Amino acid sequence: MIKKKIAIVGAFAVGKTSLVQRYVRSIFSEKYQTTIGVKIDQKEVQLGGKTINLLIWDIHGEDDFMKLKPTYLIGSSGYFLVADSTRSETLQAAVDLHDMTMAITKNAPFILLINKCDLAEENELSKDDLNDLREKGWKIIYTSAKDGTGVEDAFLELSKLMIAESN
Amino acid sequence: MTEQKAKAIDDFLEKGQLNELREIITGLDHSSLDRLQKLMKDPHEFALEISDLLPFSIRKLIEKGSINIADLLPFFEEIIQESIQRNPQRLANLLFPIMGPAIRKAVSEDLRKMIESLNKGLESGISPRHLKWRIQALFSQKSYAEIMLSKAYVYHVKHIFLIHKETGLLLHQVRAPKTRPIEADMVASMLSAISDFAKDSFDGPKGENVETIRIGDTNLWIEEGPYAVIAAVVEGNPPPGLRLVMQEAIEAVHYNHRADLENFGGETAIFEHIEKFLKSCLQSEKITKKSKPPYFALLLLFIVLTVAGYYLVKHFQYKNKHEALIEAFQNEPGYLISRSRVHDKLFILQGLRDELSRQPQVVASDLDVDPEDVKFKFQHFISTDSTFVIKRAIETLKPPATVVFSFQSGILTISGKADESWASQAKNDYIKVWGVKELRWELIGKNEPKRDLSWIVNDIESYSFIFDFNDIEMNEEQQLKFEKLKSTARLLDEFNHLQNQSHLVQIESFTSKASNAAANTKVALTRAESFMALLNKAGVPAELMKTAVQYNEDIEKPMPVRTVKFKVVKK
Repeated sequence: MIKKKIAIVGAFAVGKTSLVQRYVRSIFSEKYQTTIGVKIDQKEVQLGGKTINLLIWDIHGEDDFMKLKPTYLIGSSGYFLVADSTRSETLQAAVDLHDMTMAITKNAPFILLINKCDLAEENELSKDDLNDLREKGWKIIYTSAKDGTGVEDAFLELSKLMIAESN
Repeated sequence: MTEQKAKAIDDFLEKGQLNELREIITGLDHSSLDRLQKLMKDPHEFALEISDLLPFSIRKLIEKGSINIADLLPFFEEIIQESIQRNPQRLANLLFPIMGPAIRKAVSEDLRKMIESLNKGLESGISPRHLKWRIQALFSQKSYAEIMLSKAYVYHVKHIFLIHKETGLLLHQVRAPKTRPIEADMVASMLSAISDFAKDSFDGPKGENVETIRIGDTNLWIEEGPYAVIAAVVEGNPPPGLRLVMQEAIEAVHYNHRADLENFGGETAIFEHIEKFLKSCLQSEKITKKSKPPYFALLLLFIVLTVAGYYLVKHFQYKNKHEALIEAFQNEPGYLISRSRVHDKLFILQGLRDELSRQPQVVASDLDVDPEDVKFKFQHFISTDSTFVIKRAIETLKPPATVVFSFQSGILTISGKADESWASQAKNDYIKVWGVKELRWELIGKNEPKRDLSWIVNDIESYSFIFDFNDIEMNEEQQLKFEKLKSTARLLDEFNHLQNQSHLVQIESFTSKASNAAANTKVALTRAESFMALLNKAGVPAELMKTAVQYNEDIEKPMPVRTVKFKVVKK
């Protein structure tokens, strides 16, 4: 069996924990509970006849009072940057976190998740900004922890990237 | 031809064409070839050249599996041994820089463990549990330290995790038999996160790591290596020695998988065969449950023994009291004890009692025996004890105050002064005193009075005994009668002496000639001879007796057949 550590980072309340809950347990709760420190879950994915055990480190959202602890990222084989489509500032936070995460994980593969895509009318993110990131080679997936859009795909895609990287 | 060849070569060399050819063939320029030549000729240069390559080559060989460390070990050990034998100081100097820190680390580690152990002891030294241990120590005759150690060293390693240090991923795990499985991957990751958090948050010295996490009675012990850690989930209080076992295990893992750990990419299958190292950490020490002394059984036994002992003592006291009572009555004049028994908690004493003796209740009270506990069943008898004989003699003979009686072996001795009439009366009456067979006089100044024994003739001749057919033994009644006959018959000798005559007792046995006369005669004679023998035994001289068989057919006044009568006749 192959085991991979993946990290989920992003600003506070972008839906990191909800994404993990949706992916691991297929549940969603409107109730917001902030993550203190780190929360770890696991899920097995089948990829190319291989079983991959994903250890998902749901790291607390960064804000003015609580900065991301770099040590949580060490050893990650891949990571998600999560932004909230209804809060434009969260995209910048993700971009900011990327620099640190990339350095610590030694250029591990990553995917930017634009979460809460079910709230299309409240979308604040500019397409230009996202296109700029795409041009830089970023992979971007729209997700909704609420209705499950893109969640499975996101984890599967990151798994593929990690396996490709390790090969 | 040869000269031409040599010339051509010279021309070739002059033009540098040979060097050009050499370069084409070998691919090396002139300077490189010079360098190679120099290396070949100078071993020092050659050694310098390959010194950089050798370690790299060895490492590659090991990684490829062409050689393994185990193969190299004997060489290194031999080299080190040789070096020590030649010059120990050299190796000591080499090791000096690392010896100090190593010793310091070992000492500080031991000190830390000792302080940890001491703290643990002090922390709970006054807890209820330790108070209980102290009480146990007090009653079990063990030292408090022994009790404390026996409690502290009980533990059970439930899970062992090998965790990749950088990623926090679980590489392998083992668990003790009958232990519930847990989500080991998540535990490993969380443990790694906690460790990261602790390191980040508390700014401890670099290189220091979380070593112990305690949750209630469960301890999480962590031993780190450069690339992986071993975490043990331990229930109870593990001994410090477990840490050493874990250290050895993590060292063994690194020894065998250093490269795999260093280049770990998520594949865990390669770590499966290190299970034996992890299993060595699955240690446990159970409480040797000492069998409790069977307090209840002991208490029960104690009660039973106490009750049994009480009754045993009472029984012996009871028995001793009875034996003492029997002995007292046996020694008491005027008593003959024939039987004793206990019936319905009452001690029954049976026998004969002279009416002149002390009351039995009085005798019993001498021994502090409650007369209520004893029942006396005594038949009357006349004792020949001297006290009672003298008593009876005084009652019967009524002696004057000047006379003293003494009694021994059937002889009543009268001493002192008495008038002749009383003495004469006494000589006639002493026979009425039971037990007195003979009278002796020790009177002062008086002659012994002449005794009248004429009455004995009639007395002897008054006895007759009738037997059943073919019977020659006396019955009980006849025996009592015979006792009286004996007393009288014994006086016959004295009677002869007083009368200055010779009388004897003729024992006449009556029978008839009817039927078998010979047989009748034989039985009659046997009866007569039996009486003669009995009287002789009682003290009547044999020469004062004779037997005779009388046939009713021959005499005027026939007697009942089977009768024995006595007749006093002159010799």
